[in-house]
Amino acid sequence: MANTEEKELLKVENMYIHFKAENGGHIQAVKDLNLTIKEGETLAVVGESGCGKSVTSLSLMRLIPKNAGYTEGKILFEGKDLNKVSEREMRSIRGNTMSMIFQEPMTSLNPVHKIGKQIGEVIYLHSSLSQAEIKEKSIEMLKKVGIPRAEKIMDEYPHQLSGGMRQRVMIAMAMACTPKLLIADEPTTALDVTIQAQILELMNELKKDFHTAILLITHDLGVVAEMADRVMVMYYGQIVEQADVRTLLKKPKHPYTVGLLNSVPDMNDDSDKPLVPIVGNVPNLGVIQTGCPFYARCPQAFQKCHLENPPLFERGEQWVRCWLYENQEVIA
Amino acid sequence: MMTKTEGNLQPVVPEELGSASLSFFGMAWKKLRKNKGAMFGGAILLFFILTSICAPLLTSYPVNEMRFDESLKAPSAEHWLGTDEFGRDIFTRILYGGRVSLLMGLVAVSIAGTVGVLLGVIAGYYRRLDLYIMQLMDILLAFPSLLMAIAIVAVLGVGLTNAMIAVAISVIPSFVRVVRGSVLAVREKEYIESARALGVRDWKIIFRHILPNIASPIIVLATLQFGVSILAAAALSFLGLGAQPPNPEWGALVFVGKSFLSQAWWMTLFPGLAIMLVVLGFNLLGDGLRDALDPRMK
Amino acid sequence: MTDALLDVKELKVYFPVGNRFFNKNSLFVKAVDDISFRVQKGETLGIVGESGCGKSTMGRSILRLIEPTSGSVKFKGREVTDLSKNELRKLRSDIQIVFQDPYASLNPQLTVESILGEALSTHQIGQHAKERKEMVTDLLVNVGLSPKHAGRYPHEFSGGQRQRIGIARAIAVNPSLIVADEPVSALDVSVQAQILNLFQHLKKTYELTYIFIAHDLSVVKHVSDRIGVMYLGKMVEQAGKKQLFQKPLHPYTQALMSAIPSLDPDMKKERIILKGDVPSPISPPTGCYFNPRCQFRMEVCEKVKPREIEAEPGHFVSCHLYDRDIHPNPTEK
Repeated sequence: MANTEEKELLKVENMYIHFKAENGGHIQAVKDLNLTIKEGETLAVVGESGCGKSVTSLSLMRLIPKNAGYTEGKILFEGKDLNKVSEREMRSIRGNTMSMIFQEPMTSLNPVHKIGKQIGEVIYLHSSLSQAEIKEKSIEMLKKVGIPRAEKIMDEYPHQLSGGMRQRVMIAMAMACTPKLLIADEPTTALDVTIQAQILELMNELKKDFHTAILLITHDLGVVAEMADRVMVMYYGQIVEQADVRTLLKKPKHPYTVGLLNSVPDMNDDSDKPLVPIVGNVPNLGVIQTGCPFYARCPQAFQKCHLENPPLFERGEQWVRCWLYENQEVIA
Repeated sequence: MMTKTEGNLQPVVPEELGSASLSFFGMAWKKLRKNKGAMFGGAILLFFILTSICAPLLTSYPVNEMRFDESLKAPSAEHWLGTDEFGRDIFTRILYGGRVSLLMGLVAVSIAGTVGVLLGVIAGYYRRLDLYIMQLMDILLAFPSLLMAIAIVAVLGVGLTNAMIAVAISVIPSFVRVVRGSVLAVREKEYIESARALGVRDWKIIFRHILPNIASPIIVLATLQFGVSILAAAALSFLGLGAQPPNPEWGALVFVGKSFLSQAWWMTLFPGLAIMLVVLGFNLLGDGLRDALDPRMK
Repeated sequence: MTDALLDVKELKVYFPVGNRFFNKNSLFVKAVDDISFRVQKGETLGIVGESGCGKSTMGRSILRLIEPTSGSVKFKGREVTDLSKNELRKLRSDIQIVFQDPYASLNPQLTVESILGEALSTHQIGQHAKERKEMVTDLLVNVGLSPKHAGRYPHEFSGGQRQRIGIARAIAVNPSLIVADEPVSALDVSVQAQILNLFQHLKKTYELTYIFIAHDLSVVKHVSDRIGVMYLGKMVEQAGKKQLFQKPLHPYTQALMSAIPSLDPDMKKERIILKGDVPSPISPPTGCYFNPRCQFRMEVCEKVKPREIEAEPGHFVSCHLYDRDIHPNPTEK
């Protein structure tokens, strides 16, 4: 559980991410996003495809190409506004105090270089260690992420490893400089459940050992329950609900969160009753609409929802973007 | 260090369900029209095609009639592009020659395309003769195509028809390779599997499901090979192995003109320019098609 | 036991690896290695397993989309593996398949109407074009799409809608058995539930029988009556849904179940974290394929392949732990 005494590590204020559209216009992929991560905390960002969760993580690392889109707003990382620092300074942050692992361990490693070279490069960039020390440190990191015969793996190529092993190597690279913040974008989606269990356990161990904060991007609510301290639910580029993990999973407020939870078959339920899906489809970004973006799929929508997009209502530690909660009394 | 693997990065363009449905080729055409290079290339080709078809309307000179009093005249108001050693109007001969050159390209690409698609589909879909077909193609590709065309003409004999066949054969391997590769990629798609699961017959799978989905690379290749074939045919004629004088095929015109290079530069320059422009036109159009038909486009 | 709709016996699908041309007796990937099971009419058999366990190959080999290497597949009492090409084509109106990737399973060049129309005309369903058009309309409505969608191309639909089209194509030919190969794993969570409900709904309307293949145990649990668990080409456990979930017998099934993250953050259960990765199916371990990762490994597991034992009525497991000849006092767990 996150300690409330902890310092704020990352604070994002009023972030907007725009993409250039083919027709020359712009698409807002993320709208008015605010988030904070404290040191050593795990914040999960949940949402379905196109909700803006992955774009957010790329934007924090400033990895969105200039010609593809731009980011507005403040991204304060250890007090520095990442939206203002030079590219050079950004490079010294990436992979060092802030690092990232991706979904696809098959393509995230360069196929033509040996594992040892790839992990050594990260350490070389952010330290002044000698060649021998770098090698020693690389092997140490590989051992730490639970890779057997680490010395041998140093001389192997990515294709010689299994998916789970590659993801371990990615984590070893990301953790090599003991970052303060690890951004994990769907880190286990491409993996089998038994391997996923291994990787999640590993991430929790590393988090304890290094006191690293984790921003976990995922669509899997089970992974959220397993890993997160706090959860943010995104829909159509906006935060629709935020709360600590227990509150969010047990007392969800936003109809979308409720719908998501109802859509997942419950392992502990032996009855054959049908699932309660959310009707309709995930909307494409860029379709201009007034009112609440969830309006068309919402079972509880009323007239106001159609006319005006609700702001985030703060209900204690829980934030909800829904007109149902405009007045405190309505809360069931 | 790290590679991005993020689909969300691509801007999502709204799909209005109200608008009319465009087929894949409808969308490609829309995109092609915006490509200036391709449109320019297309315009060049259209110009040459129209002028060769309408040749009799554009010029009053006969193609082959000799008038020695007019021989080797420089370009003038009377003869826009000058005359050759027999006093024939170069402009007229280029117009009529365009018919031969363009037709040679068309025939060569048609033969090569048909045979190439057939062999490519057999190799790629049935896989039975794959090894043998591809080894044969590798051998063919090992020769420079012009050298190969010369060798074939040497066997078949000099002449326009044989030159066309020779050019066609030298172009076949590139078709087979492209088609086979595309078939291999498409046949693994689940919609092919589902067609098989439905019990759809092989020939229907090939014609209805595979060929339309590999049409894009074939169209692009055919366009580019059109230029290559015209060039190869002209080269054969230039070497005296293809179209024979007095046939006004462009390569043959250059071939004749080279003997008079010092006296009558127009005899080689203008047919040469015509060849260059047409090949350029095909290349521009081909490149544009490649972009427009890119399967990644949405 | 009544005659099963589908009766699979000792099914094997081996793929040669390496260059067949130069090396006659090369190695094999044993994608499906000696699997037997039955599917009764009207039931849903769920098949779970991790990537590379051979579950998709197994599903496709029942339709002979991939030719089985040996074994028997009896459908409605007829041997499928002996059918001629023409008979097989007829069979395919009776067994259908729904694929995982709704983006790859529809021909991008055809409209929805021609995709569904092809299914109908291939099996001479419907007398003339007009009748087929009406049938297409009905199909679209039955899978939750609008008849207005008939003239549209696949790229105009979302993933969930495309999967509905794929399902419509499968039911168009009135099959009695549908093999669903990971039909919801490419979809968003909120859409997954819609498609799962659609499968349940169609099962009743069309009196279908399903073989539902998935890697997601909770999805399989939701739709299945009986479940088979596959590991490295073998069916290691087979039981009714309740039996399997209340009392998983095979150590692999136990690990698989404990690996699924619970939605309840307070239920941090004791995990069985498996060591290592799934071994290569080219050179599987000797004895029981699961032995290198098994927490209950015994000496015999490295030497002898376990046989299938009916531990309880209808609950089959391939594990020495439950074989009284080897292990006289079967342990609970």
